[in-house]
Amino acid sequence: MSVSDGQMVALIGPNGSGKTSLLNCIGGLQTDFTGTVALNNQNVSEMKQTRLAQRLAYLHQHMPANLNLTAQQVVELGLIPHLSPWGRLSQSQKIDIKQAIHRVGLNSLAGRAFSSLSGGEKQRVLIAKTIIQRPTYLLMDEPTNHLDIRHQMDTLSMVKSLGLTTIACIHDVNLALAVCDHIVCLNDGAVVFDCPSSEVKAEDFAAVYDIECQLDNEPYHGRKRLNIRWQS
Amino acid sequence: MNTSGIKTIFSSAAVLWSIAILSVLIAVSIGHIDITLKQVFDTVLGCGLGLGSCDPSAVVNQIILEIRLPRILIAFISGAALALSGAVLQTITRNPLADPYLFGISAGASLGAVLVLSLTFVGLSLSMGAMLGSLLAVAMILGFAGRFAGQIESLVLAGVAVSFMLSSFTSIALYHSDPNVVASMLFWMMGSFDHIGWHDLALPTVALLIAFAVFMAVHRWMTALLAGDELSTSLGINAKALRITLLVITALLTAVLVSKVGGIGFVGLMIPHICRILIGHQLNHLLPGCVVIGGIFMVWADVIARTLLTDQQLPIGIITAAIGSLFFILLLKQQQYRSRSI
Repeated sequence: MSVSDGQMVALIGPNGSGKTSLLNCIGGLQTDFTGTVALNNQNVSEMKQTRLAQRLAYLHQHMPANLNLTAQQVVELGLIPHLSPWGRLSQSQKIDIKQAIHRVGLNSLAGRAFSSLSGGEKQRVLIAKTIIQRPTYLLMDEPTNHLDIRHQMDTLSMVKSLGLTTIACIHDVNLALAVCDHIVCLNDGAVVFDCPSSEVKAEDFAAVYDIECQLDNEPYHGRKRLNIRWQS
Repeated sequence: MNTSGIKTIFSSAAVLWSIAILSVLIAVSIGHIDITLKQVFDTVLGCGLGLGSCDPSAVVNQIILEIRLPRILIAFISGAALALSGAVLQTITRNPLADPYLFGISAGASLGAVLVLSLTFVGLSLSMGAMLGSLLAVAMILGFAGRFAGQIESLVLAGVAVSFMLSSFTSIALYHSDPNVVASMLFWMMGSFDHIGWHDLALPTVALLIAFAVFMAVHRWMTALLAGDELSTSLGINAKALRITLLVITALLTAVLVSKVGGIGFVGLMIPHICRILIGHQLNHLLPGCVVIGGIFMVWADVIARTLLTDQQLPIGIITAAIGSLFFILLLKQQQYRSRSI
């Protein structure tokens, strides 16, 4: 598969189809795989980890439950790829951190413990961390898990506003169709279809998920929407 | 005073170091022979720093400079090093119960010391035997954990296994040893600052300074480890290599200390918890705080060990374990009270 600059691509597929594994291979978290991952024709496995981290950020699904860091400290982690071990934060980096926190609307929560924040607030902290990391590419693993509809929309529109080339694992097919430009569907570790969101076919979803379904267009922007016949 | 007020005070390096210096000077004045604080000041300034008159032959000066000061300074350095090691291990394993002894370092040192005392023909000093024993423990942990040594669960399990294994070897060696050897070994295993001279201070001081410099250099990477290995890796950090490197450095630091003063438990476990309450979780404040507060704690624990009984000294490990158990009971009660009031 290939992703064009500035595109937002959804990785969809049944549980265990290899979405997270593929994301981990692209992000350098998993190195024992066959094939090649390239960023602008540069092989990722030949890049230094720090160099990769300067260009590619990863929005994680899991964080330790008892993480004893404040929201601001988590945001500051995004600077690590740009700092030497002894490096101190420059004045402009401190301003960047404040601006990133302001941009995601977390000013009043910056000093709060990360573990005490709600799911939506945690995602906003991690997006602020991503802003600070200044990447060109972004990987997201289930960014809307456990979020209500309002927060799903907020999170994804915030990510879209960053204008990064993004690959996101998304379980909710309709969310993927509503937000992403391109859909890549995996099953059993292989790409089943790879096409623009406007060109997906109902029979492909039916075959991959073993369901009865039809596609129509949602009334607001005319984007494709999947309607599923639920078994009684 | 509210929590943030307390944190502001204890985050101040000047405040902490003033308390530390004062603690050392007061501790020097306390002992079976009464020495006033003024005498301590005069001797340290005059003889120690050359800022006044000094009579090196005066008995009081000899007691201060040759007996009490090196002893109290090694107590400070031991407390600082154990607390620092504990804070680093708790961070890199994300386990609040991790401390230098969880990884069998003390058990290895004890085995080395027992073997040196029992097998006199080996010809090694006690501290050298203890040091070799500690290093053996670290090598065994890394060997058992194998290629999974970078993973927290593997490290902790290997550490616990090595600790029990080496402790059982020590028990066998003690069981078959001469009663005199057993008595001196038991005293050493519970920790002691007796017979410490200026020449014993150099290696622990250098080890502490080097370890502290390395830990401070990588404090941001350690903070990232707290947020998970996946997140650290995605920030360009080799999480497994970092964890193993820091484990080896803390092990070497602890080994240097244990070889000089024996096994002193609970400090590496307890002081980081106290420091988090007083200073907070930010590592660039927590680690220096652990150094100073760990040092202050050990100086006063040693004062108690020296003065609690009129006719004899207690091993320092007894005092730290007693205070440690009390601290954790209080912590438990405080948490229970908080969860009741929510």
